[in-house]
Amino acid sequence: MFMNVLLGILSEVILSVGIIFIILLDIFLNDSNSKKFISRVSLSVLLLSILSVVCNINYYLKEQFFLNSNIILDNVSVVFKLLFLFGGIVTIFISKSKNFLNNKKTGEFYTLLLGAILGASLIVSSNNIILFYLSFEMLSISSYVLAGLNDTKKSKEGALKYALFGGVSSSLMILGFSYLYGLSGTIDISQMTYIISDMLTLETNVISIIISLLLVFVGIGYKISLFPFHFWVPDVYEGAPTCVSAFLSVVSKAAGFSFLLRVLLIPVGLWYEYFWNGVSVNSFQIILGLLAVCSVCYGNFVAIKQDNLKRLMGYSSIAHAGYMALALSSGNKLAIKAVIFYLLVYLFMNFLVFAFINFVENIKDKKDIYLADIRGLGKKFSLIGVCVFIAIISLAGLPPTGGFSGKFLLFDSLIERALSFKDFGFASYYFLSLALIGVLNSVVSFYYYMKIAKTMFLSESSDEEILVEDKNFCFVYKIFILLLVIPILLLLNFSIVGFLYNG
Amino acid sequence: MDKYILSLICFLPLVGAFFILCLNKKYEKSIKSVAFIFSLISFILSCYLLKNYNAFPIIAPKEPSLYAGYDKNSFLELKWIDTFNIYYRLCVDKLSVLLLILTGFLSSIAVLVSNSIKNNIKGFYALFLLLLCGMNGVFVAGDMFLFYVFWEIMLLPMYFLIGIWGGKNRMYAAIKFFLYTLFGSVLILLVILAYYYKMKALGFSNDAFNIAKIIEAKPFYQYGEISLIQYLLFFALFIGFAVKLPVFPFHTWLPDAHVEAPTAISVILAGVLLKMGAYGFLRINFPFFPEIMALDGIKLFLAILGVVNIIYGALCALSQTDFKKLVAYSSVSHMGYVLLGLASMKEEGVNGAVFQIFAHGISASMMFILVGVIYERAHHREIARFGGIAHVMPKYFAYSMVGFFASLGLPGLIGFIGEFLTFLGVFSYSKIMACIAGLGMLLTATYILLTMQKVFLGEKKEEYAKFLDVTLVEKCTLIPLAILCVVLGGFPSLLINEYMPFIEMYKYIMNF
Repeated sequence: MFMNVLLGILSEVILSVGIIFIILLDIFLNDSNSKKFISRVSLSVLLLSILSVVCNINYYLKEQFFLNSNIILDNVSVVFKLLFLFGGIVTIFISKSKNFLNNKKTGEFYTLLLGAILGASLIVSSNNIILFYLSFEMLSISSYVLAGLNDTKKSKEGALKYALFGGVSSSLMILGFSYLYGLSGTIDISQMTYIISDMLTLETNVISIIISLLLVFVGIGYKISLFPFHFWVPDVYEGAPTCVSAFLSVVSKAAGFSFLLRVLLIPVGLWYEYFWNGVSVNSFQIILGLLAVCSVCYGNFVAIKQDNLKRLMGYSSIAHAGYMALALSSGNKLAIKAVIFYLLVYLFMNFLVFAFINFVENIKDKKDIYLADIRGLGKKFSLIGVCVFIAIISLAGLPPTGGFSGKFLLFDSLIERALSFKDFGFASYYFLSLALIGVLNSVVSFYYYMKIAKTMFLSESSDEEILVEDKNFCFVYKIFILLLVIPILLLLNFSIVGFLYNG
Repeated sequence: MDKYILSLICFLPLVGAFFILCLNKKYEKSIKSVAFIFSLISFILSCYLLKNYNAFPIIAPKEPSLYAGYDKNSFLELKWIDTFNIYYRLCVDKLSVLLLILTGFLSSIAVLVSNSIKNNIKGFYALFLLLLCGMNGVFVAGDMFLFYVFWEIMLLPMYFLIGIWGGKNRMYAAIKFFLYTLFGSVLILLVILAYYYKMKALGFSNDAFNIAKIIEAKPFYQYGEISLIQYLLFFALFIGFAVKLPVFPFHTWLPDAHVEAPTAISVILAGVLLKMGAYGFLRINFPFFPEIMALDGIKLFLAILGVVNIIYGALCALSQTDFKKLVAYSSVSHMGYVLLGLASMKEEGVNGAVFQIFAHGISASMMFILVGVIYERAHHREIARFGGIAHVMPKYFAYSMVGFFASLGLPGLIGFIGEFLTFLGVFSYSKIMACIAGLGMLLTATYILLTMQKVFLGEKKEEYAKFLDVTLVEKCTLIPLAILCVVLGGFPSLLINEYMPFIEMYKYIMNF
């Protein structure tokens, strides 16, 4: 029994042990070599926990509960865990930069990073409101500190903003949870959903249920940076160390989505269905759909005017959250698969762009990278340039890249939903128009993504800038970026992650 | 080999591109010859395809099989993405084969005329071959998903070819070209998705992306009234392809792109890329919705758009001072005949439209090459500043006569046949339309003759006195085109007989 439980949460246990170990190391080791050593230790902790998941993958893929059904394990949680852990490894790689971690904060960085990953992987596997909230806060608080690790004013400002917004939204979320607890009398999420959906079918306490669910949604919307809860994004992304921005844009967002998926995975309509013009439409779907449309439009249109690359990526990440939320608003099984797949692709392409930003920061010895700074870099470093270009067209959703397949699947689910109604009426047009807006927005997004490619390849480089070239560094970077770009191309064929579709 | 010949046509250019990337920068000549050889191979393989064409039989006169009229030898169907029933499905009908030949032919010529490219030759030819891969892919794809992938692959190299090697205002032209086309193609994507679900709901999940099957099954067709969704899908596809053709309100990218693009790319743009819009209409858009195309209102609407294209393009061309922009607007005008012919839904009209596709591909390419020749010598393109070129460059004048008069529609040359056949169809459809479109012919004659007069005739000017006549390489590019203009103008049945089976099938599908 004990072994069984241990096996179930092995990766989390490894992470926790690793965190304690790193804290101790940081106290006792103080010379300059210790930095490298600590980073290696944390890399190996992450690799070890990936290994622990991969080795037991057959065991994990069955749906099962542990520890008084506080922890749930199924294929979704396994996929997300791998995604977080892999994201952590890439983040550690990007963190190797001249401007960052020169100071004594090495130990803190790795501790916080592993802590955030631990929180994220507990979010996916929690089946208990308290555990969920605790892990959610673990991820959030670690991220607040991570965002402030840079020694600039912008970084501190962003971190403070992040913490304030995060505090408000998570307090709203816990308010929602307390309502739900009061209504259902249980903290077990799967039990709670059954009780609440029973209540909805009996039409009791409808208003309070909706209010409490909306309050919970505020917390998640903030994590995934959906439209009205997005204000922290550009500032935090701009100020935070590049690796942290990358981490927030992928891992933290994926953690938010994983909980949203958990809610949607429950087949009984958790959300109050009512009849609108004779067709049953989900109130949640309408809210989510509208917010998603706003966030796609807002993210894309504001990004057009951005000069700072990290800020631009921040707005683009708002738009990408919108695309995924658009698909989720269709509320079908297909959307869940599509979002998981998209997050997978998004991991690679977004990390690649941030890795590139970090690369530029290093060779130019600067902290803020503007579009003007990457002029002509595509010609100078042609391999890296081509890889970044592939990532960019993937973000814009053009074939032959995984981004295209991802968007294809996302809009697929919307259209499937639109055509699933018996009579082709208002609801169908609602979902069709959502898809149309999403698709047209990807044309808009193309404009600013192409601006990056344009400045990289078509503009002349200004020669007066000093390029700090480190042959070894460049070489390692090339390999690293190549490793990231291959999955982007391979994922065009989405059957290669077929196990998602069989589950 | 026959089984894989389409894959070869499609992906050999890609091999060529990799090969070029591996070569050293210094060997400019060999890079160029590699590009030429691979374009030529694509041309030769397409010719071989035409020669060994073996059509799937039509079972009975009134019930054609799914792939009736498609080439049997080269038909290929492999599973690609299992979970979504996406196939690697390559098939060609007569129209695609002829367009493949045109593509191979014009690409070989385009390589020859790109001598003016001086910087970063390696990148230019690698992108050029990638573009060729995309173009060939569009013509051979028999699966909607694959079609879309190739359709988009084609855009990226074009963006860079205009953006890096273009003229002064190249960035603007490149991004404009890209955004317009992308806007059109995302609409196509939505339609593809809609068809996927409808086909699946009807139980054809295995053939959900199969173009031929969709045409046969008509998933959205219902007896009697036409629903709003059908109109929406029809117009989404129409706009998607109309941007490429280009049809009147979506045409503004074309003059910019043409003016900024280097000569070789202009040739490809005018010769092949515009044809893809027409190809999309003929292979996908109209056959998917024969019931909509049968409506009088829609026919009238498309015919009006076609006429507007003709007249508006010609009027714009008339007022241009830039030589290349004039040719670009003449392209807009000429592609109007294609739309007009298709809208007439008469055998002669469609026949004329298809002929016009090839006629314009040849004559417009020739005109762009001619403009390129003079631009390389004079380094400007202002019509008003030229004059008396005929005295200095007599041979060039002779080629220009062929090219420009072919474009004008002089009887005996290639342009005339397309326009004549189109008018035949349109006349039986609507006499008023034919009359207004006839006005377009008059306008065309006006701007072409005026331009010829200003550029070639008149006093011999001092600054142009030392111009060399056409060089050997330029001759190599102009002579084949000139021969085609004359031969196909004299014996149009050489071409018409080839694509006639396609017209027959189209007639059957569209039910007119």
